[in-house]
Amino acid sequence: MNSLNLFGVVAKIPRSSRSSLSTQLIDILLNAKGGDKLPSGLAKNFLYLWQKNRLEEDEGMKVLLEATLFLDAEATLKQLKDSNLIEVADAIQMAQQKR
Amino acid sequence: MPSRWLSRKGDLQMVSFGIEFVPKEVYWRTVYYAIQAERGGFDNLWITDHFINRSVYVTLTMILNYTDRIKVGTGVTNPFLISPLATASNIASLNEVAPGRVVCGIGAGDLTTLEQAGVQVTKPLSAMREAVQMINALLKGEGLQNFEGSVFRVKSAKLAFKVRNPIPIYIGAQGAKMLKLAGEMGDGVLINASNPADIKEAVELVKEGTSAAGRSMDKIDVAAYTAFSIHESEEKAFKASMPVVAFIVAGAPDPILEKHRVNLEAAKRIKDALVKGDFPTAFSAVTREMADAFALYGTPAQCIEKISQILKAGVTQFVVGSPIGGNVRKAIDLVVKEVIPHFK
Repeated sequence: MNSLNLFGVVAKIPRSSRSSLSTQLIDILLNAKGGDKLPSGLAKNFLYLWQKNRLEEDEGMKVLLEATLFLDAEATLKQLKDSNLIEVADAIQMAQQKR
Repeated sequence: MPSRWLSRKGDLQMVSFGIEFVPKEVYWRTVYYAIQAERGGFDNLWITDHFINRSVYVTLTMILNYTDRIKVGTGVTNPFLISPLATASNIASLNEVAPGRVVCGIGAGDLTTLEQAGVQVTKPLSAMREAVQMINALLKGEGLQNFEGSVFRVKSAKLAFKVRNPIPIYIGAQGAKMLKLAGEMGDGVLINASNPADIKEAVELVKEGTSAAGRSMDKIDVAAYTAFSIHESEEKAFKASMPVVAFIVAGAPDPILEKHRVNLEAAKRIKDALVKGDFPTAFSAVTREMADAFALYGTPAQCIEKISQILKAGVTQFVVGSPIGGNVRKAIDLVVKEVIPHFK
């Protein structure tokens, strides 16, 4: 999924959901298999935004989603649905199907 | 920053918190935890040095690049696998990334690991004494000329660049002689123990070393380098500690096991299973008695109580060591929110 699409998806995530969602996405990221396959630039962006405490901002959520979708798309979509972010999950799935 | 902790006796003690990571995962995960630890108030961070894992210096470099305050060090490197000359160069280079935030932790090394690597360990005490002398000489810019130790010999060595600030050397120690050596030579000591009674005994030995050398204990950072596991559920904290305890039990000499009333047959079964690579059998054979002897585990309240006992022994840095917890992120969060505030 390209960056433009993900920014559009992130805009659908309410501010009130971001704190708990970002924590849950981080857990997916930290525990998924194949962490060494995460593209280097994406890993560094993730660390930079974590260092600056900006993971709950649009850019941070985008990088988190990009990274978790890369490492474990199934768990990411399940988490979005469990967090009642059905519209977000659907938007991601549609974009994935179009690719 | 270290802060003064009012012990139950009412005396003020300096205490800082350290955390240890084993770089067995890809670097960005360790760096994530490092940022979390710094933000949560940890003062020191230690990365283990083991050839099967990611490089300690690559990991520390990345951590320094993404943190601003926390002090970092090798926890610990050893002079048998890595030449003290290389260690001096590595540490001095690391110090250029973040001057004043780097320390060098060095110990005699884990015998099992060194055997695996085909390294013959001779005179560990002399090796450590000489290694610390060599590293100090290089870091201070003095260099070495015709250094004739009983383990290391150097014709001529000097760093081709200047180290702008003093770099403390911490000595990792467990046995009596090494603890005394740490008191004699170290800027700090990393006491490899988790049980309050063991740590109390160790601190006394460090004091003997300082007295013999005419030094003051105030000059030494005394760190309890524990195998730590925390969870809201004591059972889960215990379970998370089992793999680490299994390896400690397997590597412990019989007198140490007997001292802690660990059944020698049970310990042998764990060792045999580990040698065969049968980890489930080895880990599930760990008992509460073993974990009580070789790890600090429990709920936040239980951990606070045990840490308080350790600090009373004269410890100035408490190191939250591996495994930290079943879920490392959550375990760090618990320490940050419930344990550290009790002491700072």
